[in-house]
Amino acid sequence: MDKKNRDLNYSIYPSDKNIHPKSFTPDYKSSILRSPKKSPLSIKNIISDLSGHIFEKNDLGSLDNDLIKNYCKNSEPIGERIIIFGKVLDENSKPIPNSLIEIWQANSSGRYRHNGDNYNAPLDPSFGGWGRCLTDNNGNYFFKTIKPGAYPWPNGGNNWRPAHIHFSVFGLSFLQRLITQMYFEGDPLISICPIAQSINNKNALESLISKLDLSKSVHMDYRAYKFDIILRGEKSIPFENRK
Amino acid sequence: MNNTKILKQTPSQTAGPYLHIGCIPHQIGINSSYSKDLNNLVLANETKGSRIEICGKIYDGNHDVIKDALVEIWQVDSNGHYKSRVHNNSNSDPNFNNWGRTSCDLETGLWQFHTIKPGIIKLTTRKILAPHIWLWVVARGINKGLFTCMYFCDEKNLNILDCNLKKISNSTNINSLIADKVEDHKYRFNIYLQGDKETIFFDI
Repeated sequence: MDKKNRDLNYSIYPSDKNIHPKSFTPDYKSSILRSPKKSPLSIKNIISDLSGHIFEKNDLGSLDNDLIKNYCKNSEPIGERIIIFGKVLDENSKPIPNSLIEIWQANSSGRYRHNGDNYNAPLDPSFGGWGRCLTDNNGNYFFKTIKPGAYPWPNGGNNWRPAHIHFSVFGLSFLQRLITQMYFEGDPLISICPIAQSINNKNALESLISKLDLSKSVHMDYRAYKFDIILRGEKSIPFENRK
Repeated sequence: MNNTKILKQTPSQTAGPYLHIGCIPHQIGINSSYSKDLNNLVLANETKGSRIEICGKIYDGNHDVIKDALVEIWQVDSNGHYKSRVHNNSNSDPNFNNWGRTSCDLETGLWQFHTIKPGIIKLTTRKILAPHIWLWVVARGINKGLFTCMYFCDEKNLNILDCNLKKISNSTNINSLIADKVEDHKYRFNIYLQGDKETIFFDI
């Protein structure tokens, strides 16, 4: 089989409708006017869709994945010191190397370093709240950071976001592009958060909740939380079609 | 070969209102610790192809402009090639990056890219894709990133032959995928999340 035809058969599993949130989730008020009314049109993906931007190691700085140090002024930021680690895999359990991961988060008191955030809680002069890294050859990543605080937000009621970290993940294909949020095991705010609850699938929401892993903690310094990220997988080409 | 899936996809969540600090801090003037944003790196002096500007605004269901969205683009070079792990890369333009991203202007909501007019993609001897640019939009209130695809109003003869447009030729609002030409080398592609003009989004 020539290269061109093989590429044309190359394909990827669809986005899983049972897992991702619907666009219209009225308990999350911002979705009401920002959700398309029509379902997205399915078109069979073709060669042109299955590639993605390739990032290089030297695009990144050496402290980009260390939020303790990457905005540090005179003293280190205040808060619970944690490591977030895990793998980026596809649905076939195949590790995805060289995937850019970007994270952003509030500081330990629940305040973002962003002009749009007017919460009373103070900024931490030593904490920016952003990090990025590339996965290694086995799909592994890690960040050092401060556990973010919960914070109130305008959604028409007494709404509090559970502690969370935003994740932007590239994978290897533009079709694998994902933005999501990671939560923390044991947080009572998860079950009453309209954004977390926009996911109408218990197991899917559970997969966003990082788990404490003391075996990866650093003695007398950091405790560790594990969070694996699963992106759409490549479909194998049936052997009989490979002629 | 076995096609059984082993793991479940990680669900999407909204990017929220503060995506700038994670994705494009410098663009909105945040004194970031990053040496540079990984964003709008589409062009170099040596890049082949006709320079164009594409721009637009994104409207919500009240027809208000959305100002806190992030837009990413993905397109071929002027000869119709992506740089890719799947393709043989030898034909692609080494000075073109295929990908870019930007945020909407926080005051006006306008997003814009300086890029090149993408080439035709020849899938087989008979099947082609007309020049097009994929867009991916995330923002507060959008639970899962939206894919749409921008075609060019001055490529009517090629748009008729396009394999993707043919598949959806009966859809209403198919014109929502065609960018207007506002001046020479400048195209406008507004995105409507709801209403009579609702843009066609894709599950690709």
